Amino acid sequence: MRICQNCGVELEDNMNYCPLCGHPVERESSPSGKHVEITANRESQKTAPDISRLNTLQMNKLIWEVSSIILLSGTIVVILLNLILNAKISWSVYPIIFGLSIFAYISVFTLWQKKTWTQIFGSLAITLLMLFFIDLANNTLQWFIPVALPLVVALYTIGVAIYIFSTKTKPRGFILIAYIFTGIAILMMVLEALLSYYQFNSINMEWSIIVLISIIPVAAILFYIHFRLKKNPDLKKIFHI
Amino acid sequence: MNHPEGITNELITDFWLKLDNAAKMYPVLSNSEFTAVYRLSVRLKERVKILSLLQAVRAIENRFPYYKMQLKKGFFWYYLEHINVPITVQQDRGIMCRKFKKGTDNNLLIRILVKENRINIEFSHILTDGAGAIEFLKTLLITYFSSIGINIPENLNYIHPDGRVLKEELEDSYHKYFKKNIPRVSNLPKSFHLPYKLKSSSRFHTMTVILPKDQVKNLAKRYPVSSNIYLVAIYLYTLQNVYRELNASQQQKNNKILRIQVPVNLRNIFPSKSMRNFTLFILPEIDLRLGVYSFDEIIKKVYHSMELEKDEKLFSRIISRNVGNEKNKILRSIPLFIKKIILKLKYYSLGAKLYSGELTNMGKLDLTPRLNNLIDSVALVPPPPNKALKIDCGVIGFENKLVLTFGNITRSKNFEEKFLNILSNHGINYEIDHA
Repeated sequence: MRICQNCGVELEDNMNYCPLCGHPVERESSPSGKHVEITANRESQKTAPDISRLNTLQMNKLIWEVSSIILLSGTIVVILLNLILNAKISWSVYPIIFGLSIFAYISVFTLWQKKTWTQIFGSLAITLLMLFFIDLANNTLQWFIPVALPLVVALYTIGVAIYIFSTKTKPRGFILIAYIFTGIAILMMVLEALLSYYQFNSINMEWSIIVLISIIPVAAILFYIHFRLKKNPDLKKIFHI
Repeated sequence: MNHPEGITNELITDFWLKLDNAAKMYPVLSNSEFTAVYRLSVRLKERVKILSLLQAVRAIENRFPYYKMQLKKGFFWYYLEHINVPITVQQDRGIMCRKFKKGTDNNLLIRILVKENRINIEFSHILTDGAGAIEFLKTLLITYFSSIGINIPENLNYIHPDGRVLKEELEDSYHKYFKKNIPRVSNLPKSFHLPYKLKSSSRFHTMTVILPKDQVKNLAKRYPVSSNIYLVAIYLYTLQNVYRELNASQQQKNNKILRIQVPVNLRNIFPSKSMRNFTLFILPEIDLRLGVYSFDEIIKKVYHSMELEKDEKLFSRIISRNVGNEKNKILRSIPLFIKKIILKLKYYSLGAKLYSGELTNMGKLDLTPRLNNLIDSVALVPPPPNKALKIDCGVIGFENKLVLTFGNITRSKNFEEKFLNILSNHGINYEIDHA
């Protein structure tokens, strides 16, 4: 008779863990056969040449390694070409910024695959840095602070809001489209406001209002369809009086 | 057990239920302290064989689809929605009658907690009363014993896990036996409340006392009343002693009516097979404005009150009031979030203040001598009392044991000590269960 040392219930002989509390069962002798099997398995993983056998983590690491070699070598080639042809770094600034940015994106999305918030904030930082350096490549900052920075932040805020709302709502079909439509309408308004302020130093809303008027009724219909056709359309239970 | 009127278990997979009349208040009032959760606890003579218990739970749970429900918010009322998830079996970590929170216990309102040789089932009162819970417990124990190789006596009356679910088991019997146009019961005056200070958070604690049933029975016979009436009388007598020990100003401030809630299983009065709540209360009381009562006088009062009030017509009047309130058109049409405020205010200004104590006697658990022999004792842990009631008591009999469990949210054990003193003075050899 075997007893769980944690919760005190009686266990079956073949149990390695208590099914009630999850406490591991202490064995009198170690099963050497299993140990050998695990070691052998690890050995085979180390030498496995077949890509199809790699797990997601290994596959991501491989993608990251290959892409970093390609991008970094490409960047070096571009710098060398620029130096050979013009004896200074001029036009190669743009491919360098793009190359490094793509490398940073790939790093964030492959190395932190399950960390959604790290990916979101990481990619936001990369995008902002990329735009900052592109703007700076002309020697002075012109459009980054008044347009690119607020626009990218607005884009990410709307994207994050859509992500949060959609993860909390099920089923996602209609309502996801409705959220995206609403997000586009808001983004267009932000865009027009930023551009008009950048160009004319005043906020004049024209075309984005038309976009809003066109999109919002469609989104409203989609919201209605979602709530009406929810998985359990039995409204009686929600509104029973 | 095959029922020709039954419906197959496969059909009972996707349904929802309005809360029954008694359950309606619980989601509104319950919180992390006043949880509306009670426990039936069985101590076996041997350690629980966990695999067999898990198998037994899986084997019986679909026979009780009305207990695999999650609580949902509607626009006007809460309701119960069936979810086909397994009932959770967890390690008992010593916290009794925890609130059922969203995201725990598979979102159900029932849990099974196990430790060493003890099986505990905790039910939310939203689902059912003690009578429903004990039927579930009986089926679980019998199925468990069967799975560990014990022969089950053929004449044993219980809900078989392979049987069909009866439509009547799902019914709200309060509504079924509601009669229109009969006079409602009048409202009661407020009652005396125990003077003890409340414990701070996680305040619910219990004390379990085992009495020899034959001794209690013999004592009760002297009057001659049932053991239940005898215990209610002791409860009232204890309350009177507490009142008498108060100083003059405290006595002056407090109400002088000592009133106890004694739940009655209405299935014994109305022909109901409901497995949901179907309980009402008898309210024995003594009025200390009329003077001090001797124990003999109290027991006489309790006896007459119980005999008089255990009447179908009187219960119909209470049902008429309770269901009538629920059917009130104005109340019904108020959205839930406003209704919650109104019901809470009404409960704490009046409902909670009507009773000085509560004694729930679940009767006895009897699974035939062969199976009883595998069980050491059974206990009923009452739900945590509200802030005005402060202490309540659950009673259940098993073999020659009458097990009392006091639920207490105060810092004092004075009430329990006084109660046990009286038992001692009557010559009852009780034993406090520390296990």
